[in-house]
Order: sequence, then C-alpha cells, then structure tokens
Amino acid sequence: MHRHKRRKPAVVLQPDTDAHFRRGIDQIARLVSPTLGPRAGTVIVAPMTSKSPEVLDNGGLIARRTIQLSDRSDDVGAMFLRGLLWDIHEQAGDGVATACVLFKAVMDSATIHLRSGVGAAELRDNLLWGLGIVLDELDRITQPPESPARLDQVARTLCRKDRIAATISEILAISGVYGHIEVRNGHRDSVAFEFLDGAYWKSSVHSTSMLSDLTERRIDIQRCRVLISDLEIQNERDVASLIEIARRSGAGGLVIVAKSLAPPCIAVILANTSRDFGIVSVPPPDLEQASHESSLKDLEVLTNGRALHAAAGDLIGSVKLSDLGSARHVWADRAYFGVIRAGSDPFHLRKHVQELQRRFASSDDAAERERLALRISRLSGSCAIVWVDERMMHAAESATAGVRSAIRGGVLAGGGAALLTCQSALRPLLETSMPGAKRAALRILHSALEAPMKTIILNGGMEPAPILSRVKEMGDGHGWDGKAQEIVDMNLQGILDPALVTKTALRKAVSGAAQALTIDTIIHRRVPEQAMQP
Amino acid sequence: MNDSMAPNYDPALDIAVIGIEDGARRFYLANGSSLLTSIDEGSTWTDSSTCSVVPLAASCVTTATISRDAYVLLVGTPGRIIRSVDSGHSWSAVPLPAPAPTLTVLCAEEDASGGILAIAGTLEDGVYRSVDSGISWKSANVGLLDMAVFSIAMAVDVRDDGVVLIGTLSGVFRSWNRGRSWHPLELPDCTSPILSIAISTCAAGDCLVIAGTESGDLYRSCNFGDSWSHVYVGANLGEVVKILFLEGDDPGRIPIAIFNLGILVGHDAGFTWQECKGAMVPTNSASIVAAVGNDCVVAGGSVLLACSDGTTGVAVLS
Repeated sequence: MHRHKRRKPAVVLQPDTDAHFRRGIDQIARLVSPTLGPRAGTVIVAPMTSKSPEVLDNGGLIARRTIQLSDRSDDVGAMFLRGLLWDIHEQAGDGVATACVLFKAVMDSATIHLRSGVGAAELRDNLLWGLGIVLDELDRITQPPESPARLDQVARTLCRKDRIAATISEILAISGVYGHIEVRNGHRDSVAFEFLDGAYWKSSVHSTSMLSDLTERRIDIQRCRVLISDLEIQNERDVASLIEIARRSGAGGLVIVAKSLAPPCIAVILANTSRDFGIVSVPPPDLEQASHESSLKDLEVLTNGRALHAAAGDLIGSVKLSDLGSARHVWADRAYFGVIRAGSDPFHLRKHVQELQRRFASSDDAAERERLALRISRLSGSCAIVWVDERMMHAAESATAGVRSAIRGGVLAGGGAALLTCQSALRPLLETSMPGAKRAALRILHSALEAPMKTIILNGGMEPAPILSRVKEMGDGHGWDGKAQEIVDMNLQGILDPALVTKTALRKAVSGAAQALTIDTIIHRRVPEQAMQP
Repeated sequence: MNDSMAPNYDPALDIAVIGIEDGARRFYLANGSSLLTSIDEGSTWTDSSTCSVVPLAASCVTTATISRDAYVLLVGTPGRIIRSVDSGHSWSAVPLPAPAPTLTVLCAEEDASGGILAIAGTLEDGVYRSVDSGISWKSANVGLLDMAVFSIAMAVDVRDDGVVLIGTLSGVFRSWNRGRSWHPLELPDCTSPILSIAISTCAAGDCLVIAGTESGDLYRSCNFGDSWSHVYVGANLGEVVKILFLEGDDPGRIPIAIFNLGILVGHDAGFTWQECKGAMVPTNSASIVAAVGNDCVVAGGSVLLACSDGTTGVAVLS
C-alpha cells in the first residue's frame, strides 16, 4: 500500500509561487498537447495493478490519470490545470487538448506583460473582456451542421476512426440532439449498432428465477399491466391481490416495479407465473439516485398508470386497476428492463416530452441536460446501443458527445482555423489607442488564438511559422490538414469541430488562466491529499 | 350511384391501382375480409384471396412499380404483411412481432437505390419500415410518441429529401429521413385523430400538405408541416376519409377531401373549400385514369368510391 511521506505545512510566496505553479502547468501541458490533431502522439500510463499499461491519446483521460507530481508546489499548478481540463472533458466531451494549449499560451504570453509592469488583476479583467469579443466572433462564424454528411465529418475529425465516426453520426442523424447512445464492449475490430425499440432502464430483477427464458436469461411479457411504485412489499396477500386484478383485466401478465419484495412475495410471483401469464418484478430505475423520482414519473406517463410513492403514504393494498399502467411488451434480463409500446396517452406524452425539452433548452447545467436528454430519448424510443472494440470505447464516447454538441450548437472550421479567424475581430481594436492592460490583454489573446493550429502543425512534425504565415495569407477558414499535410479550406474539406466544444475550451482556458495569473501564494497542508477526482 | 359488382358486401377499406400492359390498370380493393381485383376499371371484381397464404382480413393495400414489367403488391392483414410480385398469383407473408398489430395503412414509393421504400402504419405498434420492396420489415419508431397511426403521405421526391408524414391519434409526425425517425408537428387546436394526409405531388420539391381529421377539420401547410392553417372546420359531412390532389390548370394543386357524407374541393391551393353538390352522379367508370388509396380511385374530374356497403361507383366532381 502506498504511503505518503509526512511533510510539514508550508507557505510559498512570490516569486517561488509563480515558478512552481508554471512548472506544474508545463508538465501537464507537455503530456496533453501532443494529443492535439490528427497526427497526435500517445501517452503510456504505467499500470497501477497487474493490468497492462494503458496507451492513451485522449487529453481528458491523460489529465485524469495524472494523479500527483513529486514536487508538492509544482503539483498545485498541475492539479489546477488538471481540474480545469477534466471539467471541460465532463462538460464538452472533447476540446481538452485545445484548452490546454490555449491556457498555456495565455499564461506564457501574460508572464511577459506582467514583468513589464501590468497588474495581474487588471489583466485578468481585460482578458475576460477580450474573451467576450472572441466568443461573439465565434458565434458569428458558427454554421448549422446542415446535413448528416456534415455530422459524419465532425465525428471523423473528433475520433479519427472512420467506422466508429460513420456509425455515431448515422445514429445521431436519425435520433437528433436528444438521441442516447450507450457504448458497449463488443466484438474485436467490429462496429455494430441497433436502436432499441421502446424505453429501457438499468435495473435488475428481484429474483433471477423470474427469468423464464433460461437460455437467454430473460423474460418477455406481452399485453401486461404495470404497477409503478417505490414501495417495499412485504405481504404476499397484496401480491396475490395484484395478480388477481391484472388477470381479471384480461392482461397477459404483470410487471411490478417496487423497491423490494419479501421472499414470500417472490414465491407467490413464481407460483402464479405460467406460459399464458408472465410476472416479473424490478426495482425502480435509478433507485439509489435522486433521479429515481423522475424515472417513476416517466414510467407513469409512458404506461398511463399512477405511481405509488412510499413518501406519500401510498399503500400496495389500496391499488385499483386504474392505478396500473399497461404495455404491449415488457422485457427484463439480469441487468435491464424495457417497455415497448406502452399504453401512454399520446397527448399527455407529447406534453411531458415538450416540458422536458423546454427544461433541456433552458438548463446551463451539463449534467442536468444529460439527464434530461436521456429521459427524452427513452420516452421517444431514441436509445441506441453501439458495440465497439473495448479499446475504441473512449473514441466512440468522444465522437458521440461531439456530434451531439454539433447538432445542438453548430460547427466551426476545425484544426484551430476558427480560432485563428477570430484574430480579425481583435485586430481593429489593437490599432486604436487604449490603456496598457487592455492592449496587453488583446495581444495575449491574439497570440493565443494561433496556438492550437501551431501545435497541430508541430505535432505533425512540421515547422509552424512558415505554414501559419501561408494559412493567414489564404484567408479565413483555411487551416492545416494534418493528415494530408497541406493547407486547405477546412469547411470545404469537412474538417469541422463542434462549436460548443471550441467555445467551452476557449472560455474555460482563458478564464482559468486569467484567474491563475492572480495567484500569489501557495499554502501546503501537513499531508497533501492525493487527488483521485478533480 | 352506379353500383358496380362486388362479390360481397363487407366494408371497403382501401384501394390501390397499378398500370399494367397496354395502358390498362389493375385495381386492388381491401375490404376487411378479402382482397378483390378488377381489371376493367372497377366494373367487375374478383376475389384474389383464394391462395392459402392470404388471410381473409385484408385491411390495407398498396402497390409500387419495381421495374417496367413488374410491381410489388403489399397487403396488410392482422399481424402480417403479405407480398406478391406476380400480380397476386403467389404470395409470401412477413409476420410482425407479437402481439399481432392491426395494420391501418400501407404506403410504398420507389427508393433511391431502385428498390421500394414501404411504410406500414399500425393501430398499436407505430410504423414498420421496409427498404427491400417489402421482403423484410423493421419497427421504425424513433421519436414517435404516438403508436396509433392512421395515415401516411410520402413526398414525390422521397428519394431525395425523403419527407414522410404520418397522421396519428394525437397529430402529425414528420420524418426527414425516409421514415427512419419522427418529429411531432403542432397543428393549431387539433385534438382529433388525423385520418388522412396528403402531400401535393405535382412536382418535385412541392410541399403543399393537407390533413383531415376524424371531426371533419382540414389543415393546410405549405412548408411540409412546419406551420399549419386551420382551413376548414368540420360541420356535417362526417370524418375525412381521404385527401387527394387532382390535376388541373395549376398542376396537382386541386385538393379534394372525401368525407363520409360528401366531397369538398379546395380552391387557392387549399385555402378555401367548397362542397361538391350533386357529386354522386353515376357515370361509366371507363373514364378513371388514376387511383389513390383509401376508399376512392381518382380520375381527372371523377372519383370511384368504394363504399362501406361493399359497392363501388363513380362520382363526378362538378
């Protein structure tokens, strides 16, 4: 077991703070920057257990795997950047390497201006002002994705695996911005997908004895009634009564959604299950999470039943036929259960989905939007499963996030070309007279906007300066095609990035760097905590 | 009304027509119990359902040309879609997943690949889709929030932009990708099932859509359903059975709405509607030149009605 060496608490002041902080940032940047562009390098991570070493080309994962630097003062800078990068990975799904390069470029350039006497706080405020100008320019040049072919190009730019890119873009072109893709480990070197009919949740049956198809370890019930609840069912007579209600309604089976079932209740279910009348019980989806209420609500709308809540004092003994939902087909296996063609009131379902879409559109919280998109996807039968080689799962997930982002927020010329184009929005301002800190901030941003393209050229083994100069001569939207090793019109060539990813990377990098510029002191505790989660 | 011969008196549910040799046409009529065929413009009908694979309960029928000499005939029966490529001499059946759904409408068009894109609407299971001329069918309900489908309309240029509209219990859904996924459309003040829907077929790229409801209302859109106008409020003509577009001075722009109890003709490309008084004038059915789905066969100025009492006849639009 690893033990931390006990170290004394300490305070680090300037100029040491700056030196250590920069060293930490440089270390992370040296790990992540080589992953930018189509000719990206990889990082091999030594195994923590007996597993094989991990080969990574994803900036987000590389940052996440970087747990600690040996020098605790350097480590503060590294962990600052790591946290910022992981945040971008979580929020945008991609753009980590771009953000890392932008962050470092702002920091490097700002150092020169700080040395010349510009105040850090003043520079921070003006960097944020300049950032607004660049983001406005990105908004102006953002284009709608227009066609499935454009989405395919975005996916190819992002994941560099043509078959995965084609599959992901095809699925999301069909299912749209709310489409949910679950990436599963499939056969080696193959990519396959299917849309799952209806809605499904991760929730295993209360007893595997209920899975009547012993070969497939699964149960399928047709024309069934559905009890939706988060109740704990203890009394077998209540279960028998439920079964009787469902039978008398002419249904072909019963699905019980309940928090738990006492063993005698499970025995009643098994005793009453027959070829003509299937019964299965499952816990409410997402039971351990706060979202379990919303899953119950969705099931309620989907099956046109009434959910019984323990917190509201609902009792299983008082269930009437009208409380039960219905579905044409319900299936369950050891890990999932699904409802196909539930008996929803279509008018009610439309309203419910519209309400979720409204909340999705107005939410700024990425996690909340993700939850809402999943709910909408389930309710509208837009969930797809993609099977890829285990080694390709991250690429597939990244492409999924990127294409979804492109559908929602449009696309920009990729390879740093859109950021380079934004220099033209700063140039006229730089030609006017303005206070020193403002001018310094614009110069820093102007120079940083070149950094992603420079890095891509460098990662391809070329000298950036002459290529960048030629790109600028050829005008807006042009960039360096790292694969073909030539200057192209990125839009025409279909080298595209999701606009939301580029904007998130830029916003987080510049605002993060602006904040970092003002750090003067590092305080060390007695034993620094090992950072496992940013 | 001119009562043409019908071998039995079960309710007529759907009609399809296909051109055969020498400019002649063959009509197929699904009447809920059998599939009838006419090769004399609806004057006489014979029962096609003698083959053992064809069950008696044909609820909908459609045809589509495969090549110059061949066409596919698709028939909806409870829980199965039945297919013939030799004018009904031999059949193959494709069972749909259990429990058996009720087929309400079938629609087929030539696809970009030269195959046939076919879509089947059901009362319980949404839509099934085939891209191989009806040989295999898959559920295609991505985005579909209403599984009770009553009507389907495909754009004439389905091979290009692939617009398909379906009318359901709760309104209209649109697909931009040849029926692979669906998006709900909002019709103002519409709470009645969409029993009929049609897209103007006068020219590729045309996008005039008329939808008719169970309560007899008519809705019009000129942008493939992005926005709708409520152009006719249902009165005493019953439900809208079928919407059609007739040839006219403005090609393909004369919409006809067939109700249970009358016929309306649309003017100004469907903005205003006028009842066809005395429409049920019997004539010789030889003037019929084209056919479109549910309950009627359309000619330039005349309509062959397959009525709920099992008879057929020609109505002339004045």
